Amino acid sequence: MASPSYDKGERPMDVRIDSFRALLDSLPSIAKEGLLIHAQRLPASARTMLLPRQLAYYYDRHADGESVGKPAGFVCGVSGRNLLPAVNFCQDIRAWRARLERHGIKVVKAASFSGRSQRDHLRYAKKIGYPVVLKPVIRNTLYEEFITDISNENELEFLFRKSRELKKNKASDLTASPYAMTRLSEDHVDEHGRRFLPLSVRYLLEKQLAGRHLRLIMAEGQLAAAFHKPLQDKAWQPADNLHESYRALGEKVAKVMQGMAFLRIDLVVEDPASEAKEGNHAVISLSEHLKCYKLYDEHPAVTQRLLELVAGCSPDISLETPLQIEAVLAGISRGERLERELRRTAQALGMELAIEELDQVTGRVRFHASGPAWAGSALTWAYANGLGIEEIPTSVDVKVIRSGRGG
Amino acid sequence: MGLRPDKPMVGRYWDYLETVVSRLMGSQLDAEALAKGQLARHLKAWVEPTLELIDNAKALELRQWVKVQRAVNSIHMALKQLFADLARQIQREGNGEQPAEEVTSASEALFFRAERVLYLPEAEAPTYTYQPRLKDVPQEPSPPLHPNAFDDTPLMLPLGTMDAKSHLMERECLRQGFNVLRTGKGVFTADKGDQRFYFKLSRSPLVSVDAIALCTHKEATREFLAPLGFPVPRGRMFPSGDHDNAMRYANLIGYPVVVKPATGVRGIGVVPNIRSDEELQSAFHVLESSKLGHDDFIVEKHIFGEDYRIMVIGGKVRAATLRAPASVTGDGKHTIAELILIKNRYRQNIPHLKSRPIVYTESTQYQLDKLGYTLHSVPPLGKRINLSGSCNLSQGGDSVNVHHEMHPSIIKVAEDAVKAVPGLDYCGIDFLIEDHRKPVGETDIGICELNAHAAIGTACYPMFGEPVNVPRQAIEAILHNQGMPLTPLDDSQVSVKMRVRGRVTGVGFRKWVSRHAQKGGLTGYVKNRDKRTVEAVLQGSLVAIASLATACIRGPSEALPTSVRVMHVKEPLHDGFTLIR
Repeated sequence: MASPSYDKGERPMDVRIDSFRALLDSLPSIAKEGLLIHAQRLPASARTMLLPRQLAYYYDRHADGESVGKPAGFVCGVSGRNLLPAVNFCQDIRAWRARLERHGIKVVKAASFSGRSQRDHLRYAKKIGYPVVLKPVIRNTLYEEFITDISNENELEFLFRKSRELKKNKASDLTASPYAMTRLSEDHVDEHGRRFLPLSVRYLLEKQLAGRHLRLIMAEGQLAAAFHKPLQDKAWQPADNLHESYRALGEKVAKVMQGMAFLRIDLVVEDPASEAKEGNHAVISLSEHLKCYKLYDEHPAVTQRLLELVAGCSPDISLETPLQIEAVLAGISRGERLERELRRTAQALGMELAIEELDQVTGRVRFHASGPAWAGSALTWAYANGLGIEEIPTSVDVKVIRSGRGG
Repeated sequence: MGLRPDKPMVGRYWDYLETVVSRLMGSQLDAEALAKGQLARHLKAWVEPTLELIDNAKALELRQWVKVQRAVNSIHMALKQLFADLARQIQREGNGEQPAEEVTSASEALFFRAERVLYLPEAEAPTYTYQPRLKDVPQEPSPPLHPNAFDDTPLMLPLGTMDAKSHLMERECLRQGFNVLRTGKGVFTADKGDQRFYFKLSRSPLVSVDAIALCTHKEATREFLAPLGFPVPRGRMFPSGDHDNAMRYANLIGYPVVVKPATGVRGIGVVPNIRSDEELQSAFHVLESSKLGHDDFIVEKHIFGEDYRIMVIGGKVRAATLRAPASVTGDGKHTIAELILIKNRYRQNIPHLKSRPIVYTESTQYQLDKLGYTLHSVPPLGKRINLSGSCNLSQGGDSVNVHHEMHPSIIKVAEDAVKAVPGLDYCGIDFLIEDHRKPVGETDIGICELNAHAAIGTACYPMFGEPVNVPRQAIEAILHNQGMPLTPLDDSQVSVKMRVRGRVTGVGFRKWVSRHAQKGGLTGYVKNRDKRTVEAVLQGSLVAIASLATACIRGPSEALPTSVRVMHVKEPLHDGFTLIR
């Protein structure tokens, strides 16, 4: 089975991975959503172009199997139907909070201060009362970093005691999502391996509410799914008896956040089944990133439906159906190593591989691979994004030769 | 002064100062006169540093040249003030009541006289003639283009050195009756009714996430466009240090090639026109010793030709701006130094180039050395002297709109490239083209970059060629796209209420607004609304209002505004501009 978590230097592809779920577990969370969409789209598309920074283009299939028209684009599993300015707006907590408040939508009590002004944070926390949550005002696209359960003054002070100037490191290609304003990332670790709070970031200090988490997933302005859970739990439950007022609230937020085709709204509520009233609910976060991978294990049917909505297609084959692909990698400089890696990865995924061209001067590598659809998606996704491999190509161009639908 | 090329520039500069001042004061200028404060205070302040500069002027050093350029501009301003003072004095001496017009005309007459003494009197306006070389053979030249002068320039003064991209978009939003909330130098939201657009720099509010992801990664753009048959230069990326493969690749695609860092900003570590293995080897050394030497690098086919920015809006090419490197054209009379000053004077008339003069730097010196010239050489009539290797406008480059003579086949390539990228609303495409008047097959052509936040000011205010109001067309295309009607206001009579929030009281904000409003010919008032808000009503021309509103996000040096809200209001016309205390 796969290793439970991915770490730098570790190679998940060394071990045998025998199912899509195991594979998903082995990847860093930043690449999971993209892979889910990729596995959905790849078998259904005539041609797929994978580019750096998790950018993927899928060309529709014509009746004769050839590609046709403009491709559909995705970045990190976020649909290109989302407009960039709207996504940027969503990432700026202060901006969307102000807008929701103006439209009479209840947001959690919070204020933002510079990372350097510890005194302001302490004073405001005292005013709103503990426990509080601390988060950067400009949200990173995928990592929603926040520190919850800060229950007293000492704890808050302690966080700032550990703080220091942000190192100006170049973000890795994978995390440097082009539409993200990457301010915080997983690797703010000091020389002793301890995580620290960067000073040069503006933080939002937020009242931590008691109640249940409610997650509304909106697609094209309509409620597509709703889940809830107690605050401390990890597992989400479908909110089957969601009160109509929350549906209306979700639609209102979606309308206010113009340009977001897909939107995740997180709230803290007293009870999702009773009416949303003054004082019993508040929006705590908005995001373009739906996080279907968190639901994939426990609610496969709902997640599948969500993925189909985002991907804009429904694959009429299962992930286990055999698939044959032809892929061309470009920009490869160390041919021998790549060949070794490619064979090892294909073997780990249980795929048959035939390398037809390997030229490290032009940088082109062309190969055929056949195996279950999920493995084909995984192989191409892993290569396009440098997951657990050394060589990262500048593009991966994939054609589906034969898929389970009898093509 | 223009007729004494043998004298060093600084010396001649001193000469003209002396001439002007002596005419003004009726005596020779000496250090004593200066020390006694017989010059106006401003003028003295500007002359003193120059005095030192001249004392130390052994050879014409680079930094001194920059100082001279600055001093020329500053002296100009100071003299203007001095003449106004003098005119007032004349008025007082003339026993009483003289009408205001006469004062102004007296000061203008004085200023005009001084300008003729001071400032390169008989220079003709610099022109631009397009004449490309194909395989080192000069082609038929295009008719010469004359420099533009825009009335907007003085109205856009409040912006200072701020980038005009975002301001131009804001201006057009206001023109279409949108209210605007600006929260940063490059960021604002425009709203009207339920409709809201979020602008960042000159980027379209309707652009999708994936389109930007593609445009911001040059390799991705190449990999995406190449299979679709677009003319992107053939090339690939190599990991740092992989010189063997890179050399074999260069031989495969054939010289000449270009080597550049993969994540570079314009210019750093780029070595163009490499013609042999030996040159390539030394290019690797240049690359490695540059700041980005440890990054991945790109080897690609070199494309001869100049740098073009083609704006595609609503699927159509609206402007094609050639960005030529900084240059002067000889007139057989003036030295290169003077030609630079003349050209800089004409650049002052272009809002986009106002704060980007041609500056004499090491690279200028390098270019002149290459041609065997110095600053004091007088180039022959019609001879174009390149002063920079880069096409960057900030380094003194010229912007020329050449849309009128661009070949339709190139226009089609540009339009198709934008159409091919899903979710890309409008865009500036950077091209390299050998001769833009020839069809695609006959001239070397390559797409360098898709630029989603193109510098629209370049097309809007070109130095040569017809100006195209790109932001206006962009906003109209957005409204059309959203099915909204166009409701343009009268440009000359706009009335808005502006609220600036943040640290804006007690820092001279009202005074600052009032000064700029008066300069821009606006009427209305400005007052403190509460401790953290300044409120103003501005009436007058759209350009002046928009540039003041954009500049308010910066304000005077002590201020720290956080947001500027501009709303259209219907108010009776104010008489003059009042600062309410």
